[in-house]
Amino acid sequence: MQIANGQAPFPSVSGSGPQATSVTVAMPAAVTKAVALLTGFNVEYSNTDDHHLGQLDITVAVPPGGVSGSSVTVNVSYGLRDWSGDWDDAYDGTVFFTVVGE
Amino acid sequence: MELKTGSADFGNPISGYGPRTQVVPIIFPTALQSAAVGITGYTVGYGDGDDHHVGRVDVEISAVINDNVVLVTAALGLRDWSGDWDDTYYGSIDFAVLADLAPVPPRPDLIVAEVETNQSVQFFHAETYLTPQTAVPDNAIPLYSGKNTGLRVYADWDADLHLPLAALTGSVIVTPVGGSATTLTPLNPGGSITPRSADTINMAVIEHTLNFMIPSSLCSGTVEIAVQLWDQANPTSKSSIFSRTVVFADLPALNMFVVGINYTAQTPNLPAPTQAAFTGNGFAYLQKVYPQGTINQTGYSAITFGEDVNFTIGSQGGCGNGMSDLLDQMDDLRGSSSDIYMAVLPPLAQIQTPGSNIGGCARVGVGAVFVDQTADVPHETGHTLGRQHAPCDTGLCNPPPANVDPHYPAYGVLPAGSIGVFGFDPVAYAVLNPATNFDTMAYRFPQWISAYTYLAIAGAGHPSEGGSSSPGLGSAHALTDVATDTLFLALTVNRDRHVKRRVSFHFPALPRAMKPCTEYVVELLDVDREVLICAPLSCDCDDVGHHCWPKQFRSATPYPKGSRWLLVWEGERKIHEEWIPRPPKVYVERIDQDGEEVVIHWRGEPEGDDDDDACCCHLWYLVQWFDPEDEVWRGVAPRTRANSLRLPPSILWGKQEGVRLRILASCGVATGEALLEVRGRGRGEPRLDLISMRDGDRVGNQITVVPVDPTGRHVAIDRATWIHEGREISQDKALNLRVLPQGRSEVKVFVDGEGLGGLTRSWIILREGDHFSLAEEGEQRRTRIARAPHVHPHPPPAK
Repeated sequence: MQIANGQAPFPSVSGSGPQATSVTVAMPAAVTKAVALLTGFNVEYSNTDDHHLGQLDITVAVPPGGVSGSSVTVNVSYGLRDWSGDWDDAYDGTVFFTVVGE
Repeated sequence: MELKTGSADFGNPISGYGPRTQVVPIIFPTALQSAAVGITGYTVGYGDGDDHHVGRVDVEISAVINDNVVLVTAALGLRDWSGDWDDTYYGSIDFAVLADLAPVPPRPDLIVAEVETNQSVQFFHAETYLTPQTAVPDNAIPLYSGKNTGLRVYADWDADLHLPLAALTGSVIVTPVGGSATTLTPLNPGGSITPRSADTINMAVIEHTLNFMIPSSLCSGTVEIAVQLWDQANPTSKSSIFSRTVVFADLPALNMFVVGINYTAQTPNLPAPTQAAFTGNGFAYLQKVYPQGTINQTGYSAITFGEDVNFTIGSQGGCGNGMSDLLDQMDDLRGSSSDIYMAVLPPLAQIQTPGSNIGGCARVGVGAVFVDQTADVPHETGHTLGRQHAPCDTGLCNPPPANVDPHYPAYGVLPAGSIGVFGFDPVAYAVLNPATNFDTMAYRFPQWISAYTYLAIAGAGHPSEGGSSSPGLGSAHALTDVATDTLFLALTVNRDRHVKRRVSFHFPALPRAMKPCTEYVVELLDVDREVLICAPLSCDCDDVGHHCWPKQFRSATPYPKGSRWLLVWEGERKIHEEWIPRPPKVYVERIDQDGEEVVIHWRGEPEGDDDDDACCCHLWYLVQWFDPEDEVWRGVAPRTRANSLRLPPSILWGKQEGVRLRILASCGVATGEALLEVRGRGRGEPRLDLISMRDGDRVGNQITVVPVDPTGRHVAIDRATWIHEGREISQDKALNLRVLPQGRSEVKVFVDGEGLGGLTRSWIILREGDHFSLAEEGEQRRTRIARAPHVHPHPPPAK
């Protein structure tokens, strides 16, 4: 079993969501298959401007074809909003994950 | 690949800091090559049903491998952007751990031979030093819930295999059924011992065994323990696992009401010790030696006592008139409660006069101790539970103990009064050798508790090990929890058989444990002289000698309706007879209430019959208050001849509604009453105190937080969380200080409970080696308002 940790920072944005990004992590050795596990998140409304919680959406996944030797790509998405407006409140955060491969 | 799940519980709603962190160990059977952790679920919310905006949510876990353990560090934070973590929040994080094991065969030279489970005392290898009559199988003494449990691991090392092993260490994994595992590390200094073969282990040497403590919070229900040993320098090669299932039995709580004595028999007067001055030390020691893991303080009050308590105890025993009268006053305060009532006098060092050798006194139900005589607390408490003295070898106790328990075992060649088996104190980290330690009921020192007394206090005795501590509750078909009208009769019988009856009262109470004196009985007859009841009396014959007079009788006897004659018999000889007139009448004159100042005034009228002079007697009064928590009537003060009484402010607290009072009046046996009610002051703020062995600022290895309400009652805690440097280090009311680093550490506790709300307080602990002291005590702060208190639906029992 090969293990590598990673994280995906999301800068402060408003007007859209969830945000998506990809992170490539290097495994200690080559693997042929891999899965991403969520290990945490630190999410917030930006600019110390708090709001009600409407939705918090976080996913981590290794897409098809995401494994290449010892490199594994992880797709990460994150969104945080209340139910007023349409993603009109700025939010930011970091999503933490672990990739397990063999 | 191995898969295990776990959870980090942040269930105690806490404010003031964040994110909260915890370390949760996940244990695997062998060393690990790799491990990964992932979140499988989480809960996070604001506490107290008080919602807020979201500013930030932080949920994180990470894993570190330590040999066969994955240490999962979990962090959880929830806040809005106003204030600074000022809103209580709680939650949990569930996770899964995937791990690859490193297959390693067990060491062939090292095994766990045996494990001794010892909460205070235990039979272990008893056949090697006791006679067959007193030796019983290993670990025969049951384990009791809520009490720290010591484990002595007996390792067996075969040096002939020439495998390297310089320092032997190990671990114990404790897993409650359906719960998460906890790993214990050795208590031994440096965490290791010198390896040896099992047949060279000397039980008296603490460092011949690898020793552990299961904290009290894990000691309940059924628990699996798994022990493994290894070389401290090579943790990858271990012994095979030794597994055992241990079961903890529940014991009824031991309830004690503490009465501080404002001592006015000398000038200047000595103020009453505070409840904290007594409880901190006295309860800590009692919890160490008694089988009950928790001693409940059901209240605290203070009274003034002006009689000299000094006394010279000779071979006849006894306590002298001063102490005896003090115990009578405790009986008055005890009312219908079954709690132990313990008078706490100022320090003996300030009271003791030349020639006086009294260090405390007790009889069934009531006792008296000096606040500086901590070692006497289990002794007097034992007397309140009916225990007699342990024997002493001739010439080695001065004075020799009177009232010696004739059934106390002779433990092989050990001295009389020995504790009989090896004791273990996992908190102080000490082995108590039966060759040199004596029972808490003995007159020799040093003391610990014997197997005999321990089992007797638990009421679970082996036939030769003490038996039940609750005699005298009647035959098997009696219901023992029904309050019945009970006459609390007190008599003095002189050698010429002249009987002096103290003014006695009767009121409903649960049956009392008594030690009957078979040669004396009391009869209650109706107006036609038909016997309504005949009951044995209880006297101090065993305490002061069967051939010594006068004898003091203190009995709680059922009082049938229609009782009009009271007779006392010694064998077939009637030594006392009296007519019982109609009960006196009591009228409440007025109640003066101004905040904490409440004075009640009353008037009594004897109701004598035409053919006696009862109408001319001088009435005594006993004022009682109804304690809704326990649904019992307790004495406000000892009996009085006055017609007014100032209520102690403490009893006005804790009552949302009125405080129910009753005034009992008697000039003989017949008892009249008047009921009244005064306004309560509502629920006061409990104060967080510590229970620990204390010597000035010095504390023991363990501190236990306890909320004490304004009535002096210990309030139940649902949850307690101890925090050090932002990490939650214990979720128990007790904190093992050995987890702290050297130097100064701030520890903060958050407690939570129904009717208590949320409270927090901090202390600065100074660790110097293995010594701990309280450097500072922080202010207490409320984190959550108490929920509405539970109101008992039952009215107070009618008389």
